Amino acid sequence: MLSPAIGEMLGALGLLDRVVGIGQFGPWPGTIARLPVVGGYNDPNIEQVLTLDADLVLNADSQAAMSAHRRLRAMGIEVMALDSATYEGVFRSLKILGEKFDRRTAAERITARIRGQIAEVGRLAKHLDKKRVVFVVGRDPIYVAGPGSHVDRLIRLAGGENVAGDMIAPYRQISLEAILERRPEVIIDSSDNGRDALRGRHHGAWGQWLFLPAVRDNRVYWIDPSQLVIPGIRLAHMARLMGKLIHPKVFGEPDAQDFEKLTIADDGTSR
Amino acid sequence: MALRDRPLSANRVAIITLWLLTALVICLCLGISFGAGHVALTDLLPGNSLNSVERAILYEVRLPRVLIAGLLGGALTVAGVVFQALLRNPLADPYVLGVSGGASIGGVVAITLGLGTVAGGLGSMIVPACAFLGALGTLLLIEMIATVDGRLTVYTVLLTGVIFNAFAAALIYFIQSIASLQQLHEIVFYLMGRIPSLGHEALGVFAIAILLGTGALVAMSRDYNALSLGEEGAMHLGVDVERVKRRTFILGSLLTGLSVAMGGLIGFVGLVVPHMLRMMIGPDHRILLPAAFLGGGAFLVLADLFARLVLAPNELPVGVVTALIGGPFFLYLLRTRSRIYGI
Repeated sequence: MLSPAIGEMLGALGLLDRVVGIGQFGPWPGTIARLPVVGGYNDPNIEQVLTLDADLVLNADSQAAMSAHRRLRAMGIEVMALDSATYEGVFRSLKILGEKFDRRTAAERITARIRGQIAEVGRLAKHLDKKRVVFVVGRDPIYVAGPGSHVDRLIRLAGGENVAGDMIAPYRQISLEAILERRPEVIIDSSDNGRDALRGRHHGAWGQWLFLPAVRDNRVYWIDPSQLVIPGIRLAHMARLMGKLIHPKVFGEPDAQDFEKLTIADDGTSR
Repeated sequence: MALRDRPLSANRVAIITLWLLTALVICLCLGISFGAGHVALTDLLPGNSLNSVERAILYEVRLPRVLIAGLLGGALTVAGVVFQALLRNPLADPYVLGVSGGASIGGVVAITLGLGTVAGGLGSMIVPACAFLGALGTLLLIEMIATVDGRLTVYTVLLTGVIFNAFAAALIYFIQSIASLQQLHEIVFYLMGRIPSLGHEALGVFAIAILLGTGALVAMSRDYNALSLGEEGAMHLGVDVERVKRRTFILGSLLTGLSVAMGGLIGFVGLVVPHMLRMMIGPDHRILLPAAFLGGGAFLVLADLFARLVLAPNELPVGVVTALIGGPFFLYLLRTRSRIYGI
């Protein structure tokens, strides 16, 4: 099983005891984090899959992995390529996994719970003033989440307006001056590159632009990208976190835990 | 690439320099005038007032960016010209002698260790500084290997450089294969080449270093003309060939190392702009070298402007644009001017 989003789903369905190997890129639930690594989601290691005597490979539906998937299937190993990168894909994948492992009711229950919690965030945010938000995924060059990304959907759900809403692809390089001109009121920066000490609520590199409402009002947040960028079972949690970052008066101030490095519990949740 | 001797009149030097200087200034003005934000150079005319955002976009974002693009383009083109002269090989570019590989390793290691920091100011210079150290280390290593009996053998320099680059690429692939997804992203964009955003102090230091290096190379332009006759021929003309070779290797490598440390591997500029200029103004290094600095600068400023404007507010990687504009233009020149060029 190679994609962390699928790891969360298996955790939520109580299936972690069946996992024999994980992918290169985490985070993984605690009990399986130390299992052998069987390659990245783009390049599954066929030899390792055979060594572990796996019956089933669960992976993201990555184009790059398709030929490896074909070869695995030709060797009689079942491969399921699941869409876990989009909002609806998460629910579809949950349903498929529920049917495969005879956990249909659990899958439906989880889906209903997540959908309910997300709708609740949407309901609370619906009549709030839209805040201008920018979500940064990389700097130098500056990369932001644009339309079609699930982050963009979370921003709009939680009462925000994505200032990069006119980009041509989900994650794109944007001109710094375009961000400055659009005066974001909230800046969420996930470009920390694993440097724990820098996460939290502070201006960081944005402090240079004093005229930005986000800087003036102290609304620049540095978060672990895994908290919000990888969709999965934690969608409801992500929606609430986005709500806290955009409208803290309604959803509550983000606390220290929200800025920690993401850890996944065995039930697929992050707390 | 033998030099056909044509007396270089002071008049001709003045005209070409003035022409290219004007082109550079126009490109710089265009670069400052246009961008994703809605503010132009004309807003500075009396009667208009700028708000704080517009002021920041003009002075803090665009002005440093076009100046850096100009310096990078100039440095890479000058390095390309002198490496082509040193190796007497039209395929030489600033990245051929291995220093770029060393700079890349330095930068990539710094990124993977998490040394780059999100804090502004000096913190953002840690990755470029590590990259420059990588370039210096490589420079010393290659010089040590390629110096035989106190002489720098051009073939050994070239071979060592090419092999070192291959080694560097393998090492970087290795680092990439163990890096996290986030770091992988950062590494890919670091190597792809971009116009970096620098503070005013860093820009000042960068500019002084580039100008000093370029000046020292321009001062040797007579020697490069002699070198086009071959090492022996140059020696007969009284050129201290060893000194010229060593200085060229070191200064060209320093310019390249500095450029890669700042901007990553911006392709095409250092390989093709020298040839474009040779086709337009001839191979005499006394005019070619200053022209390379001005013309290379103008070229990269223009390419960066394209990268910023075509899909604004989306930006394209500048290396893509340099090749997309430069490739067809080079072929056009080759077709129409090749007789003058002597190919």
